[in-house]
Amino acid sequence: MELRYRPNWPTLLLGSILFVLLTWALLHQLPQAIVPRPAVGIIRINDDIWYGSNILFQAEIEAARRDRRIRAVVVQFDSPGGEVAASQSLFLELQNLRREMPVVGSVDSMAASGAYYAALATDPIYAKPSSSVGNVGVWGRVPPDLGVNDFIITSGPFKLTGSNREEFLRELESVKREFLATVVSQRGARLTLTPAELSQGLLYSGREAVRLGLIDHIGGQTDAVAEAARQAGIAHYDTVDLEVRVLGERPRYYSLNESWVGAADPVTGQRNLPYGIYLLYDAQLRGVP
Amino acid sequence: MTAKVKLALVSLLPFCAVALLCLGRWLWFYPGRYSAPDIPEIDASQIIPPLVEHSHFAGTPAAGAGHVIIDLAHENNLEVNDLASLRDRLAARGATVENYYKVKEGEEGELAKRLHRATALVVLAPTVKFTSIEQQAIADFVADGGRLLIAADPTRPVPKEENLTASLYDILLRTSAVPAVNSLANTFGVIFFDDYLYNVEENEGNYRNVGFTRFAEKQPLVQGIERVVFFAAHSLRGDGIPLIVGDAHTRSSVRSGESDLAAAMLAAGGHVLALGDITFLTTPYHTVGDNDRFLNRIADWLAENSRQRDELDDFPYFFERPISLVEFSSNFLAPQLITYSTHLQAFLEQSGYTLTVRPAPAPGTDVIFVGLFDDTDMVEEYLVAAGVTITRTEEASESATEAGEGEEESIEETYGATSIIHVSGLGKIGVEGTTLYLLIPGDERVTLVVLAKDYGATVNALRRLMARDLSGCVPTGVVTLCSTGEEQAGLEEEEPAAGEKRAGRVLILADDIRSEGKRTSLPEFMAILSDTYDVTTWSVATDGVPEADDLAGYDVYIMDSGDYAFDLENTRLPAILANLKAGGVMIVGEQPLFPITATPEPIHDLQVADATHPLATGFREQEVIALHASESGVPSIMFSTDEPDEDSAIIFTRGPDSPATGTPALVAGINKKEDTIERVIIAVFSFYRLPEEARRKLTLNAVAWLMEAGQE
Repeated sequence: MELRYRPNWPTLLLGSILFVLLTWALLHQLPQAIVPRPAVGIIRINDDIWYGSNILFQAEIEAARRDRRIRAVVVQFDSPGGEVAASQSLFLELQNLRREMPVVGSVDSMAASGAYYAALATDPIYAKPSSSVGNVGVWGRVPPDLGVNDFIITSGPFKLTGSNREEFLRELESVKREFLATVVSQRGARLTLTPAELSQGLLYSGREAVRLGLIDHIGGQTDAVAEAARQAGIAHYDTVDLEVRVLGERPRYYSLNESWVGAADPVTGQRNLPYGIYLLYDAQLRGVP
Repeated sequence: MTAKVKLALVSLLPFCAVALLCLGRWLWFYPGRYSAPDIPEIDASQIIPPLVEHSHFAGTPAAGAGHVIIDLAHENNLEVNDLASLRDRLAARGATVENYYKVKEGEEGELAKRLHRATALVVLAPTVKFTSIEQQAIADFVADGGRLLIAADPTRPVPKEENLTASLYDILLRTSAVPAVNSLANTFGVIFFDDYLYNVEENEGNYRNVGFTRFAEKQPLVQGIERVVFFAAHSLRGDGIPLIVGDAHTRSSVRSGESDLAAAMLAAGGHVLALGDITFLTTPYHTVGDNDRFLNRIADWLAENSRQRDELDDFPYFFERPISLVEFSSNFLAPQLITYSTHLQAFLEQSGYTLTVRPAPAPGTDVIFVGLFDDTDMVEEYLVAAGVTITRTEEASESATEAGEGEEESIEETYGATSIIHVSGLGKIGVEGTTLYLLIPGDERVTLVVLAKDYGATVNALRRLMARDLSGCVPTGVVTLCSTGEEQAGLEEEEPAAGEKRAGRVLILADDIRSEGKRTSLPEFMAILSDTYDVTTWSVATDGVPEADDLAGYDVYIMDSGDYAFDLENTRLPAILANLKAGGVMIVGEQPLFPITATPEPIHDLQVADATHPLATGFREQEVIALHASESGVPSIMFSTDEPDEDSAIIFTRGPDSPATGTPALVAGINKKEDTIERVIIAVFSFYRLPEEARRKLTLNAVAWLMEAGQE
């Protein structure tokens, strides 16, 4: 009896499809999953730096860490700085990230004061020719001298105010020294300014900042991304906007970012800062007569 | 190869393919590798700033007899305790301190009265400008040897209402107080710059806390001082001696690149100390560096009495001892003098002196001699020493022989129905209503002689001394002759000698900001008047619209709008008229004083309408004066053509070649107020258009006539 192969066409068709899919999965998806296309993450620091905005920035840093595709990060700066501790926190977080992957800085219109402090954790730093960079220093509103009275009794002389004028000045000087030491340590031999010159608090143009060693190159975001990729040793990479990703996941960050008491009024640009010390450049002061 | 092996190989093929693909991807996407850099750490030991070192200097206070006035009348930006350290040190030196508080508007003369007693004036952080009256009073005070400490501080601007919730911009954007301090400092050749000094290389905890180590040599104020710390200081510049100077790293906030900047200066021959900082005088900043030592030096300087009191208006502060009051013209005291001596006694006690009425000066006392012209034996030696010879009626011929013709400085008096006193160089003064004061300083005794015609006049003379009212007085050396305003027979004024100016201040105010190609007569007025009067010019185009303070203190105002449109706002005419105490105003302009819709009518010539009027002295009746050409013109209807009243006069009319011939072109009027009489001249043509000789005559006539207003 002759056995004749009689194809079962539906089965054959299904098998063929399955085979193609398996082959596609095996030869395309599996390698992609095993060796994903690398990416350069973009973190945007484009607001006053304070603990609220830092939640967003911190989330972007964490997102870069979690995503194994992201092999390098470019931090895009457009900020006048802000609170001291928040700026220092951002600096330290970026510095930690740099121990894991390249972190390159790119200044859009401004990296002043606390933003420049944070930018010191990135290397190299790019800026546009007319970006504003620097404003190294700190300032603060002196707490009032409340004296002593019989209506409010405190456990110590500075319990209410935290310091007197002299101590406040020392605190201010201490933060300034920390800032100057950070600039000197991070910029190293590239820096041509002395600490005394730096402490004047001048805001430099991007090109001048390159000349003085405050930053490294004139260039755009593309240059910064390319440099980050080069440092990471990746090619044919994507870029990922980490702010969009994070805000897509947790849009509540927006409301956090808008609630800082010291934020500039959107209409007048004026700030109403509480007593304290700041790593902040207030652009309004430059223009107000 | 067995089937099993084949099967195994076949089954490995997909994995190999995947591995190859992964390898390919790896090589494609990850050609390199990131190696984390060594991130440098900062040197934490550099971060902690050092503590500020405080030191105190007690020293041994030098005894001083000064009386220090602290100015608090110029909205000085001072806190209650800011002056405590300085006050304490002044008190330790035996100096007395008096506060000078805000006075009412128009009572700025109060400062001059207070300064009579003072030896030093302290002006710290003024935020309101000093008026010209105050400036003059302080300048006179300094010229008399008084000492002035003037200081400003960049951290003490014009104050705003302060509260804990003041916005950042309220705090930072303040109005500078530098113009206020400069309104006084400039008088003494010192300029405060609207800046602050800083040093980023070496400072006292902050860039603006600048340590100064360079001091003027051989200046007792800074002797032995090695380092003074100023806490935000203005830089100063001027004619004086830079007392404290910054190093090469001390810079000005507004003048990049400049160094060797002065923060303290000694000016006016060492009588004015200007300081760019005030904070260093206050607690606790006076304990930093050698600040306390410097504060002590300043207190020594202020407490020392270096005031020269050798003029009559320094009464009674030219006395240095208890005072004897001696009435010398009779054998017994005049009742009026006995009564009035009690007032004098009380007055002198308030000033720290004791007065005793005696028949002759007691040893170890200064003396006031009071008496009449007809018996001067007791004071003859003083009169002779002062070069004064008094000759009575019956001795006139004898004295004239003794004095001789060559004794120019002698004073000759003649009594009788037409008695007069002739003072060489001053003219003839009638005895009636004349008082003679003689102030003779001396190491052992200061002597004041007061002579008058009768006891009533003597009492008045003392009253004037106490009020320091020396108006109508003429000082010549140690002699001062005063008129009490009573009718004086034979008073003849002598013409001023060549090069000597008449008394009288003239302000020429040019309202010249309207348009180009036009002009005023300011240069012509200046050329004519400056040889004779004390003339000040003010151009609105250059100097701006004057403030009320800028207009104070003049006898005559000339407001010249020339070819420009007249503007009341620019000339502040209402303010001048409101404050005019004496003297007058001349308004000159080729445009209407107020809006008129009539057609302008140019003036080509003038005609003298009233040659008897003082303004027309030197002009002939009906004389025609041709004017240089001008396009401007004032409608003739601006002046009424009615017959003028008794208080006004038409001096010039439009000439025969001008439209509206015969209508007024220059009018003069007298405005009688309750307590003053002011004179006003209005001219509707520019003086520069007058021929030179006519211009000179008319200008001098006009100013002389206006000056007389206060004498009516």
